[in-house]
Amino acid sequence: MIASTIRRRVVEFCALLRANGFSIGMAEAIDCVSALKYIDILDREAFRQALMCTLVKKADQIPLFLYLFESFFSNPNKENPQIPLLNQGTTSSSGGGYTPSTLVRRSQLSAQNWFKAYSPNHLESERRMTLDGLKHRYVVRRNIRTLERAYPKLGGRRRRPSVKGEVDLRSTLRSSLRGSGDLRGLRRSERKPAKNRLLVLVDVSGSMDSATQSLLELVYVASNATHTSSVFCFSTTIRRVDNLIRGKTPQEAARVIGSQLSIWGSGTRIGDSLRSLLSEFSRLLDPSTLVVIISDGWDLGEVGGLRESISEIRARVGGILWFNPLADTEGYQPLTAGISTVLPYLDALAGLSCLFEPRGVRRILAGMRASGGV
Amino acid sequence: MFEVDERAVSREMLKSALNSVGYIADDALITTLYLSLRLGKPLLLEGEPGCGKTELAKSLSHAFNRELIRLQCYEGLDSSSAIYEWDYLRQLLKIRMLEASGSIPDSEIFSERFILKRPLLRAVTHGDSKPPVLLIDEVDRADEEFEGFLLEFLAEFQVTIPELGSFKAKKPPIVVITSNQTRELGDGLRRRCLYYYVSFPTPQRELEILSVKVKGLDEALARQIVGFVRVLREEFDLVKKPGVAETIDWARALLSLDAKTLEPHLVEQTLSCLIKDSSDTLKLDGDALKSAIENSAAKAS
Repeated sequence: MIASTIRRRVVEFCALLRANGFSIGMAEAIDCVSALKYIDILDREAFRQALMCTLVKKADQIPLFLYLFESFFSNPNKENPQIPLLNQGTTSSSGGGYTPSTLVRRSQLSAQNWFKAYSPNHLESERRMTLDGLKHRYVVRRNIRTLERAYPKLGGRRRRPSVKGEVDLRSTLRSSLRGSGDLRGLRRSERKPAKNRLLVLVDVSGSMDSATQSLLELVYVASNATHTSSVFCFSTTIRRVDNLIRGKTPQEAARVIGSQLSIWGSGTRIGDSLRSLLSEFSRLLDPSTLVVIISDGWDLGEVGGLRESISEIRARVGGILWFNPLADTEGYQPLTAGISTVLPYLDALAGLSCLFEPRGVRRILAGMRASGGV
Repeated sequence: MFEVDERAVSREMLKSALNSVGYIADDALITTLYLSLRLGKPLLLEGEPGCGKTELAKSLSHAFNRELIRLQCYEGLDSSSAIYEWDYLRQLLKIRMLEASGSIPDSEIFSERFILKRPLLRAVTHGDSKPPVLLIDEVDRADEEFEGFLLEFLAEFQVTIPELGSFKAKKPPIVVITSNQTRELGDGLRRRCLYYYVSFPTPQRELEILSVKVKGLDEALARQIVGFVRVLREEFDLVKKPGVAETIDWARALLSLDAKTLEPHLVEQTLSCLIKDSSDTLKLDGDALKSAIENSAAKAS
């Protein structure tokens, strides 16, 4: 039987995690309390692990969980050795600790500090971001889904009926069974082309500031358009964002990006960012991956590093498409060091507006097909 | 081998049971596994490839003498490969026989004897007092539709066949799900499981694993091996970092070559056991390799 004090502390801790972006429902809280019945709660490691395995559901939540756990259950109180209470400052009327709301407020502050400490290049304050309207939502979504099917090179495992395909014995027998076993003719099928896994990399450095609203909309729609897409933002470093904002409302997503993505608006190191992508997310790079980069190509890093990273990525993925807002201007020439370095490794370089125009991506793909690119 | 109810074991027993079949686990993993067994919830393991996620399920089945039912996920995995399929050829033969004898094919054609049981149906119809270990391997490779189906299966441990009705497990299987994070799993699946991230082991733990898995390996050489692999993981920006499986393979290779200490030429000849990507091979040219061997001594100590 778990003492009511411990249950209360666990519930408060769940509220603290929830306030910091963890998706914790009643089921998780019940699992957590149930798990405590089976361990010795005086064993701090076991206690922490019991909470962690029931309340943490993603690897990237682990550092924040550990930070919040240490903050919440630190400063062992000798009078109450079972579960040490957090901080001994203000006490609530129930005695001993903080009220849940105080804890949440304090923990939100802590979490923000944590994020700032975690990010090597945070800005001085939160960036206010809004995402109202979503004027191009449906167009961008359609273009993203077109990209998903852009390189139908690999046959998937699924099959579809086709008069020109191979004989499908399973389908033939299935149809003959419907007619009491009489063979009604051979059925044929072919492999359905597999969808690409999309990796959308959005440059959010200061040089892209004029397109902030479009980029924010793009990041939001790309994160929610398909489950096979992974969306990253990069400037001096790279951060994954789709797992932060997937399933959230546009307003919530803008708030999360504004408060947690402190790299927005800083300098650009494309080569270093791509290197981080290679080392931390190499599992996402394979021949079924289509990399979509949105950037103006202005780069403060070394050109050699950029070339090395982009060539390594190109060797591993199915294709790279680059959308450059500068390419929308008439007479644009890809002369900046960044763009001219990556150009040989790209399947296509197009203006950013193509993603915001109906059939914009189809036009690019048609052009590539005409030139033998796809 | 432990002939006890796996849901009634203590953490210590669980640890020694896994140790007895050669699986050396961290205390955190033991606690998570123990809670998963006690709460009857699936265990979701994510982490670096080659760090023992699949091996855990195999060791668990071996340690508790349970049948291991493995469902290897891949893109396009459908219910006929995961749950059941009608045995069409046998059904056709039966129809012909019935026709020849003047009978009319009836519902007998759709009976349990004409079903080819696939892993999930096998897991719920095991009929044994000892529930099997169901390993759903690399679930991230399966489609989202299949993941959606799994939600229902994991909640009820029940499979419905329209022609026959529902099959529900008398005793739910022990479920271990692994993912290599090639795509983000849905929240629904995550919420139904206890979660553990399997990372690279500490040097001490890796030494223990080597001593269990590679019999006859000199301790000094084992230390050098662990130190060198640690250098590769930490100091080289490798696309595919060597996991524990690679360390074990490499140690076995060195043992079979009668190596007593890490010599540059030996390392060069056997590096293919550790490095699995062409671009990584280029990063380990002559000088880099020598400095890695030198640094490994410091890491080993």
